[in-house]
Amino acid sequence: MDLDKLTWLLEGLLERTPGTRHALVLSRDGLKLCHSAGLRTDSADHLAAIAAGVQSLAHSASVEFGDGAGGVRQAMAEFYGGLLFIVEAGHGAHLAVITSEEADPGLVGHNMNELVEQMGEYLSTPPRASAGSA
Amino acid sequence: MSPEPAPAPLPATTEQALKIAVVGGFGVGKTTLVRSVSEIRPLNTEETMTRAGDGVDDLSGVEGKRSTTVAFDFGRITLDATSVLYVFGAPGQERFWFLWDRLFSGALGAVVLIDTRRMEDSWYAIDRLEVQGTPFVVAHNDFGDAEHTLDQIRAALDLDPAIPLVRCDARKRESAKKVLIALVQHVRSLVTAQAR
Repeated sequence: MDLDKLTWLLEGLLERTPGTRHALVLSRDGLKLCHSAGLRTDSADHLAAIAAGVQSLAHSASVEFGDGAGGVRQAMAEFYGGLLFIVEAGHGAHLAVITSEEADPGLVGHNMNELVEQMGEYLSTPPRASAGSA
Repeated sequence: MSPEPAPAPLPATTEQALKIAVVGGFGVGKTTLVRSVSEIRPLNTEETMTRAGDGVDDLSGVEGKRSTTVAFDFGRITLDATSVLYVFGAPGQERFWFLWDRLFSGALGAVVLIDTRRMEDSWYAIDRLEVQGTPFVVAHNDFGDAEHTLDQIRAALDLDPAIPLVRCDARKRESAKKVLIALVQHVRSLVTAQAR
């Protein structure tokens, strides 16, 4: 699946989910893979780094306080002016969505997970194969 | 998985909780240092480096690196009966620098870890600490290739003579602990000097 197709899927998510503003797919080490058109490049870079950090901390919380099943279902932050949702999206990647305050968290989460299933196994960011290879 | 450190309950006599930040360039050994000194299971937020980072995260000099910190490291070490250090390791890459100010806030001081193969990576950290007025020491993480004397390193960094510069092996607990002690002593001497 190429990045154009992925971007198209992200735009589709925003269209069918009221209140959503931006969607971004990032690698687990904090780099953007693709994002919706309304998100400026600088903001996309920033969101990718933020989302990777949040997911990693959420994972640490699950290790310390979870039931051992492993993994983070969803991380969410609610701030003045909006919400941030992050879910795992395939191997080595995450999907982040920014919404307005009015968005329905249940619907956003549902649609994000649905999108992740659509992206399915096509979406993965494999580890760097050999060190130093460009 | 490395063996977990033996549980070390916080002594009831603890009076001083001191926050320390560990900063420095990408791949210099910050996570390793926090892991070495921590007496509790360290929080680490290391993620596998992905192919998305090809051309972004420069591995020259650290070709064996496979994972990278994306939020921060956290560990705790008891210095003596009354003092405990809370050690926060910052992520190294530029895309995570926005986290640094939060990590510095409330910190007693910072350790700037440097690698002589990638000296320029530490300039941002030193600059930032000087601007913020946070006391710090510089520690050269010796990867076994100490070709430069500490004086040469000091000159290369254009480091103020008043700022301690030490050598360490971040993998070794005792060595890493000495760096933290050097920082605490440096901060104490600053406080004493101010009080005069």
